[in-house]
Order: sequence, then structure tokens, then C-alpha cells
Amino acid sequence: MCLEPSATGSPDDARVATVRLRMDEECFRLFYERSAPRLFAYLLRVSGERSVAEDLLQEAYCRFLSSKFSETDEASQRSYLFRIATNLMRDRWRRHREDPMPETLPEPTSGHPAIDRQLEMRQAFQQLKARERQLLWLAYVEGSSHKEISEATGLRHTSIRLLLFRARHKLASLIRGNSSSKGQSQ
Amino acid sequence: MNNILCQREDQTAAAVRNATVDRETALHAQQCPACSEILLVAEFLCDRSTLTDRERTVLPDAAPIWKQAQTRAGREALRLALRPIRFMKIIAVVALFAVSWLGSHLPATSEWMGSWMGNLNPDLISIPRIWPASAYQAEILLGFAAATVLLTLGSWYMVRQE
Repeated sequence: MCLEPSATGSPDDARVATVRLRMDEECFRLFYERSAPRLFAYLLRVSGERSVAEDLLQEAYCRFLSSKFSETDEASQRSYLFRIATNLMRDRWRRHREDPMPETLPEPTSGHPAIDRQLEMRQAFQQLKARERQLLWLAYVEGSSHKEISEATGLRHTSIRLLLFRARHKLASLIRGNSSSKGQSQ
Repeated sequence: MNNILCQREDQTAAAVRNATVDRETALHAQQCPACSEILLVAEFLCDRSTLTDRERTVLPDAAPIWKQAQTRAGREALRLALRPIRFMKIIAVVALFAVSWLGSHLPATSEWMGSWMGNLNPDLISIPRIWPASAYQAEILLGFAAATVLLTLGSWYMVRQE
């Protein structure tokens, strides 16, 4: 991963800015291509809103670019990026005093069993609290350690195991509930 | 092994994440409530971790984000560059108010400064003779001293910022 910023061929003010960013445009583009789909999926699934996910994605990358984070390997950088995004989501919920969990979700009635099943599963996840969705995603999709989750979410390290267990148990019940109700209806 | 904890939890989760759930892990999960729950939840989440084709189309492009970051960095650089100037402006305003205040309390200040300087060092009393308006000599000296101190402070701050 290239980290040395280049400052060639830019207007003066842009050059000042380029020098301050942590990587040059080409490096950023490559890093973005590799990391953005995962980050966007995380933001989209946890926030449940496309526009919010887009805003937070852009903000997370802007902050990442102007950060003084010194690690150079991509895994650490990606982990740091997720940390920024998690903090941004938390700030947003605090600012708007919102839990992005929709109160009422439409009944899945597309007519296609596979699509209906997918919608049901989506709803099962949306029924969790935002914080629970965040914890589960970081632990089981990103493979973050409890320490990393604690740093990203601002929760106490010692509470993570219990919170994660509760969230996991809740989601498992919802998935099983959906599966069994589906089985009974058939 | 109990309902809450299992030593193989991390291993099971990693296997799902890396799509390497082998027969042994699957058999273990059948007997272990914790790992079976992890298997179920992790598979559910990993299935949803990739974007659909439709979602990929709304993924923002890298170029506008890069531009936005550049603009912000430029603004931040400008803000930092202007900070010493803002600092000096504040000092100038404070100095202006201080001088105005001293001016409005001139006789009292003059008396106080005279006695203070006299107490400090009797030889200093002879200094006023070189100034035409000896009544205001203390204020003038004070003004020069304050200006010197403020200029020194300001210069030091600017040099430090450089």
C-alpha cells in the first residue's frame, strides 16, 4: 500500500491539501475499491437507510484521509476505517436521538418464496437494536476482537461478551422464529 | 461447555467467515448450543455482507470523496495558517481596551505608578525628566513595556507555528 502523498500538477491550494492527506489519489482509489463495498454493506445493514449509509461512508473516508493514523498495513487501516464509521453512526444516533430500527415493517408478500424469505430475514435483523446489529456485524462479519469492538463502540471491554451473547441469542431466536413460522404456514 | 460459553466459539465464527466450515465444526455445532447459535447467526450475517448488484450501483464513486477530502484539508490548512493572525488580532483588541481603560483612569494610574516605581527603585524617579510631559511618564513607560511584551509573545507564537 502506497502512503507517500504526491503533490504534482495541482493548483497551489490543492497542493497544500494533497500534502496533508495520508495517500495519493491513485492509492486512495485502489484502497477504496477494496474496502468500500464491505464498509457500505456494514453501514447499510446496520443503519437500514441508504442515504444515511452513503453520507456516513463519504464522511468516514474523508476523516480517514485526513487522519494521522500511522499504521501502514491494509488490515489495520481497514479496521481503523470501520472504527471511524462506527463512531460516526454512534454520533448520528446521539445527535438525532434516533434508533434507525423501523417501527413497522411491511409484510413480505412478493409472491416469490425466495424473495419473501430474504425479506423476512432482513426484517429479523432490523428488529434488533442498532447497537446490537453493530456488535454482531463487527464480531461475526468483520471478525473484530472484543478489544477492537470496545474501542470502536465506546462500550466497556468487559461488557462486550455479554452484550454480544444477548444480541446473538436474540437474533438466533428471531431467525428460528421466522423459520418455524414459515414451516408451520407451509 | 455450556449454553453461554464454548472454547471453540472464535474458531466456529472464523470458519463461517472464511467459508471453511468442515465436518468436524459442523458436528461440534450440532452438540454445542453456543456454537450452533454462532453458526446460525454468523451464516445469516455473512450471507448479507456482500452487496447486491442493485446496491453496488449506489455505492459512491471514489473521485468525489477524494475531492471532498482535498477541499476539507485545504480549508483546514488555511485555518491553521490564519491562526497566528487571529491570535494577534485578539491581543491587539485586548491591548486597545487596556490602553483605553488606562487612559480613562490616568490621574489615578499616574499616582499609583509614581509611588510604585518610587518604592521599587528611587533612581527611576529621575527618568521622567527626559520626557516633556512628566505627568504621563509612567503610563508611557507602561505602554512601551506592554507593547514590547505583547510583540515578543506574538512573534514567539508565530515562529512556533511556522
